Amino acid sequence: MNDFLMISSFVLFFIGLLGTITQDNIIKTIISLTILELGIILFFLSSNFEIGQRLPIIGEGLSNPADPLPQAMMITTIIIGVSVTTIDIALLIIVNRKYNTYSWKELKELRKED
Amino acid sequence: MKNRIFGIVTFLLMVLVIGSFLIFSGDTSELVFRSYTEQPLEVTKIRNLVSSIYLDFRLFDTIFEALLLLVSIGAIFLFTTLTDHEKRVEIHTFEFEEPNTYNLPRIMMSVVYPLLFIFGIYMIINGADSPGGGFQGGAILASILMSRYIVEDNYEYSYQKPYNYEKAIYIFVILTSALYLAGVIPSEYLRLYILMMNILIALKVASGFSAIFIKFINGNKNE
Repeated sequence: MNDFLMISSFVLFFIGLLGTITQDNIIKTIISLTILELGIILFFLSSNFEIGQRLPIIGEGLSNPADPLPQAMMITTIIIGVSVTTIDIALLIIVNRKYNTYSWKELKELRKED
Repeated sequence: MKNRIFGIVTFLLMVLVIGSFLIFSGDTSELVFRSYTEQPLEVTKIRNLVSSIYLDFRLFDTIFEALLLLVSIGAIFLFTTLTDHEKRVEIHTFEFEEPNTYNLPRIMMSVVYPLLFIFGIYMIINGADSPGGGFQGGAILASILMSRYIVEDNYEYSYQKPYNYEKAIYIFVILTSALYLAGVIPSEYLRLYILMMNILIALKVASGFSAIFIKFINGNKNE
């Protein structure tokens, strides 16, 4: 199960990478970046994870808890991911106001004309 | 054609990475895992191990992450304001003149958003002993404003206010964590410190997300 989650995280990461490289639409690039980030989050969460592990909360007899370190780190990663996505969207708003396009190719040509 | 080549190269890279992972991955070290799962109750007096990590063992992570959120919101405001004078295209403004079409989500959200508020508060207060904490509670509190916008979209929101709140709260976050790092807080008040930090982080995250949301929905209305 652990290996399955790990491999899925790699697949997600490379789907995101492929999207960021190949997509012409800037919004799709931003979505791909988010997918890439989800792959990274899944990778960290599935590291040192096995089926049957319980919540990392000390109750009566904490037996076999999940590793809390990746979970704590991924909380901060999610917040940072939101900030990165919003900055991307803000930049996209600027580009769209100035050049009125959502396409990388058109943007390249319009910037050459300037 | 170009995209197909990129696709093949990415697929080969993926196969390479997964193959090397399957061949070379070994067992993870138990030492770090054990130190994080066995110490917390003696050191921080709270039961939630995740909270004890991000408010105690790795406190600097939290401080700088909160700073990053603050800086990114400042950057968004700066970007969207600076380019105001150099715009070439008319900004489209949408006028919603048919309020009746939004009645169903409006009524649903008016029922749900008081519950969201209670849920958020519960997550923050119980962050020490049950699943939850500052970040999660803050995200839920931020969703209150979004649902309120659906319920009542005529209301004038100012994005500068939550941004200013966030800056002020960040100073309190730094002060509280500095007190803790200096060792001033006695061990019997550690739970109070965790509660305080959870509330401050939640308010900070909530006001930060609200500022972003208001900025995006308002455009340049307030400038």
